[in-house]
Amino acid sequence: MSESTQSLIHLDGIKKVFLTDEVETHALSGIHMDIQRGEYVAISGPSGCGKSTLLAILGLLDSPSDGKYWLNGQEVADLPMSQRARVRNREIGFIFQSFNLIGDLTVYENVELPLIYRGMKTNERRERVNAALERVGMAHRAKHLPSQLSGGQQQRVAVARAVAGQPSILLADEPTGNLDSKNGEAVMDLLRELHRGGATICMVTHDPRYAAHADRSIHLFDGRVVEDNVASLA
Amino acid sequence: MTGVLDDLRHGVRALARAPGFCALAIATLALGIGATSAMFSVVYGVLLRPLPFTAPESLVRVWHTAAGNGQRGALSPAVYLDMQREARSLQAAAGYTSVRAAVSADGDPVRLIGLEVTANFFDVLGAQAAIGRVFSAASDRPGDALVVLADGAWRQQFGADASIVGRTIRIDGQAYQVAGIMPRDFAYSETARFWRLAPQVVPTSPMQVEGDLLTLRGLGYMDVVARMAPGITTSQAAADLRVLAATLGARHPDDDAGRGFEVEPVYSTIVGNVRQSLLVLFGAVGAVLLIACTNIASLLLARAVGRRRELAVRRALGAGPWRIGRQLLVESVALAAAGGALGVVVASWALDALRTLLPASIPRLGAIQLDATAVAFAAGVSLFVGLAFGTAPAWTSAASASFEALRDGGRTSTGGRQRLRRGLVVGQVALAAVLLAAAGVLGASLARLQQVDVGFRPEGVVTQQIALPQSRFDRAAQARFYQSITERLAADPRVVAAGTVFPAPFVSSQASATIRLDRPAPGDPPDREYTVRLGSITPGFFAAMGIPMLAGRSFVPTDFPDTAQAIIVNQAFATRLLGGGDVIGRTLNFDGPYQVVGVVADARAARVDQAAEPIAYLPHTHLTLPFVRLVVRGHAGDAATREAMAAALRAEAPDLAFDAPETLTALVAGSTAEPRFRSGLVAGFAAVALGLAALGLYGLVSYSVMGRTREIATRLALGATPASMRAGVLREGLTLTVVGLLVGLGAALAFGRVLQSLLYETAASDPRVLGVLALVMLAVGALACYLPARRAMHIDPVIALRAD
Ligand SMILES: Nc1ncnc2c1ncn2[C@@H]1O[C@H](COP(=O)(O)OP(=O)(O)OP(=O)(O)O)[C@@H](O)[C@H]1O
Ligand SMILES: [Mg+2]
Repeated sequence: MSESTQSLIHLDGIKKVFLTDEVETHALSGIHMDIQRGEYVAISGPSGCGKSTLLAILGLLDSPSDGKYWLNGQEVADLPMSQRARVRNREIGFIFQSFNLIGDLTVYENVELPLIYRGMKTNERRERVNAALERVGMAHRAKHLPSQLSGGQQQRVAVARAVAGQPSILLADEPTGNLDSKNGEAVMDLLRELHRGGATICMVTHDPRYAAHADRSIHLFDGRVVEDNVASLA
Repeated sequence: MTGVLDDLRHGVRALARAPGFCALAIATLALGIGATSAMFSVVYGVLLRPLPFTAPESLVRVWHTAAGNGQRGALSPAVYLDMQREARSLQAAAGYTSVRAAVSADGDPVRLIGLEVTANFFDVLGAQAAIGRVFSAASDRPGDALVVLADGAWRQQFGADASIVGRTIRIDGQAYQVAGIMPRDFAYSETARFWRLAPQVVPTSPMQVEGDLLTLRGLGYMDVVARMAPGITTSQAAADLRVLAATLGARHPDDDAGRGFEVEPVYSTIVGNVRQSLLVLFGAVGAVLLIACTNIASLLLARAVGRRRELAVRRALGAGPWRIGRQLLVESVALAAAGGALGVVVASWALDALRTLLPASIPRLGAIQLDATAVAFAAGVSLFVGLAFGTAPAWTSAASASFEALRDGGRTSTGGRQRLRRGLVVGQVALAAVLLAAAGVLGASLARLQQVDVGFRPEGVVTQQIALPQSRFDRAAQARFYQSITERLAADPRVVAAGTVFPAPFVSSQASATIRLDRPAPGDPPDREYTVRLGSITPGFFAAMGIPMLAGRSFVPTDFPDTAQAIIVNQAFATRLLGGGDVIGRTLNFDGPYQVVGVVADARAARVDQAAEPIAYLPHTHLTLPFVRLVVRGHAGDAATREAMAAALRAEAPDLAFDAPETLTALVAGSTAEPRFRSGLVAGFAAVALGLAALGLYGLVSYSVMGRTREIATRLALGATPASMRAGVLREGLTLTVVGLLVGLGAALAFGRVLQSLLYETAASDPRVLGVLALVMLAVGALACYLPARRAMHIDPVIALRAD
């Protein structure tokens, strides 16, 4: 136990059951998993196997029906709403398949958003936002609106938004799903670069080429972990 | 044109696919257009429809004004005849008096209100009979016993029998030949049911007159309507009559010095009082329509956003922006047409409701109907609404239905349209605020009016008009009748006190006289004459009314003989004319000296909103009139009081018919009927407006939350708290409310001047009313936003993970 609490993430028997029209869907049926700091994990599996559900629970967007979840040594499975928002804001950076930039806000304001929710001072925010935009190579577009950017550029801004607050872990659900292969490669390169810089990343993808970017690959099937390969590090 | 028909077919199909939207839009429009058309019918019937006379713009009413206070009054026979002869600016002037008389053909007599008119009455008005003929100065001599019946009286009392023309009917027992029946829309005055030819060149005096009636100058009792000479304006006529008044004043200094004439267009006399009121109501209902339309425009805008893809596909297939705009416009006009058609039905219901609500004091009520003009109005409004409120959505959609909508799946910001919708909602809230402000101040004014201490206790008092035929009751008999009926009633165990009075309380009639005081009021020259109101009462009057004696005593039988000199004044008289203090024993001079024996408290005489004027009361024997009001206070309930009155009248005058008794409470309430109607209706409109504005706000905010679902989910994923999302939505809605409220308050202040003349002791910008209004609107705004705000709070952040 003491060992597991040192993991960044420790999942113990996580289950998720969806109830719709009196039909029970067992999306996750007992997930045990540890993610260490600095790991780059890819989660893959067939459609409907529970990848997004798992990511939602990891990101505290959803709570498990059963099981325990320690994040950074803290039990988080049953936190109340407002607390979850706080933890999410500090510990988690999200990258979405459909970018989810807010159309009425500029690139700069989009990246600034999680820092505002954290209650950070303007000066510090400016430094962080600029640094994050530099890092993804989008500083020159700070004043643009998302609709004025290409898909690849939008996703880079989304990555900047995810990392600006220096969260403990980046969670990405099919980050290249809405991109062509060239832009997809660029985003994957960006993630690898972030990983080299020390970021912990957990990415859902069903593309084996992208899964290969990660140094650990978890396979889900029918709500269970069926394979967990750590790529041998040279 | 075929293009438009195609558009129409497409449009109807597209609308049929959204039945909920359609039903809501059509119902809203039908209510708005219906209410507006009904109100328009009232405004048209009362204010706009031409008066039923030939060239009504050259018809004027003429009054003789008093020396001193300039108060308008009726003309005396001699002054009327002088004017008739000498006023160059008037082509002809007709005189008339109002009479109540028992009218019968074969059956029981019915008491009707009518006019006794000079022979030229219908010539002056330029009115013709529908059946038979009217009388005319050219063919009929004064004294011919002729009567013309109103359409209503002919139908109700004579069964619409055309053969009545030429036959003889009885009016107060005297035979009159029916000359003709007037058309249905003819009315002069509002209440007259018959017009009988005067027996002399002027109508009969209501009081017994000794000597030649035609030379009587001192007693004014004739109403006069005149037709101005061709090309003469009202102000030219007024100037001409001013010269005539000076001439008459020089010729008859005793009677006419200092007096003048007042001229007013007949139209103003008839509708002058209600014009403002009706226009305010029309404005209010128009504002409601505008708010309703804004809701539709907002719905259309939201719908256009939802159809961006469809429109973009149409554009991609080669439709120009004009085509697309036209398509949407045709749809909205089709909606408006359906709403308008249904609106006419709603209008006919609303008009029925309005007819029962409209106070009887509103003139020309009979002229109100849902006719071709009103239907044309409804159609015009519908078309306007369709075009005006379809244009904005059509315009913005046509302009933005570009390929962008196809590329990004219609998810780019819809900022422009949201801004327009926000503008619309602000406008709605502002309009609702104006209406609420109006309802608030009208309500506050009404509340003040109803709190007014009228100076007497109306509860438990029943009154009845007594009119004695002069042919059977001379002055002495009249006075005896009043004394014996009140004494008989006072002896009845069901009765507390009984009296007679002229003028009747809360009925607009009055008597006045010119007097000199023993000492003039402070600052006035010693010989100053005062025109004051006179009352004629029996001793029990003050007790029956519940008007307290402040000093001295009421009348006693020893005050009755002609040699006695007792007079009672009210407090306004005592303080304003007699300088206050102990006024018992002071002397007033008219037709001889009178000593003040009592002072009574002030009481409102004709209307709740008119403060008491100085009045002096004489015993009924000193000022004797053939018509008085019997005032009886009972303590066994109004029904018992009525029975006691009926029994007493039967005993005293078994063969006379009298008007039905009325409670004093009803008479008093009648004088506030119009403000009650006005403020009730405006309050109703304001409530509807507030509801519609709240609906508009709710629609906008819900729609905005719905459209921002993904955005809110994303914000939640980034660490925003659900409570902050709720707060954000509430803030958005309340900001719109506050902006609308501020605009509305500004408009209400500007608009206040229009209302001021309708208010009683209330400022149109009463800060308490506006404060309450602001609170109500904020509360309603918060309520309207609460549900969408809650929905925003409960949005599942997992949505952010989903691909489209
Ligand atoms: N809100 C929900 N209500 C009901 N069932 C759900 C809900 N969300 C997910 N599911 C079900 O849970 C299962 C797992 O869904 P999940 O979205 O996690 O799959 P996935 O592995 O992400 O699939 P994909 O690769 O297609 O994105 C599916 O059977 C899905 O239908
Ligand atoms: Mg998924």
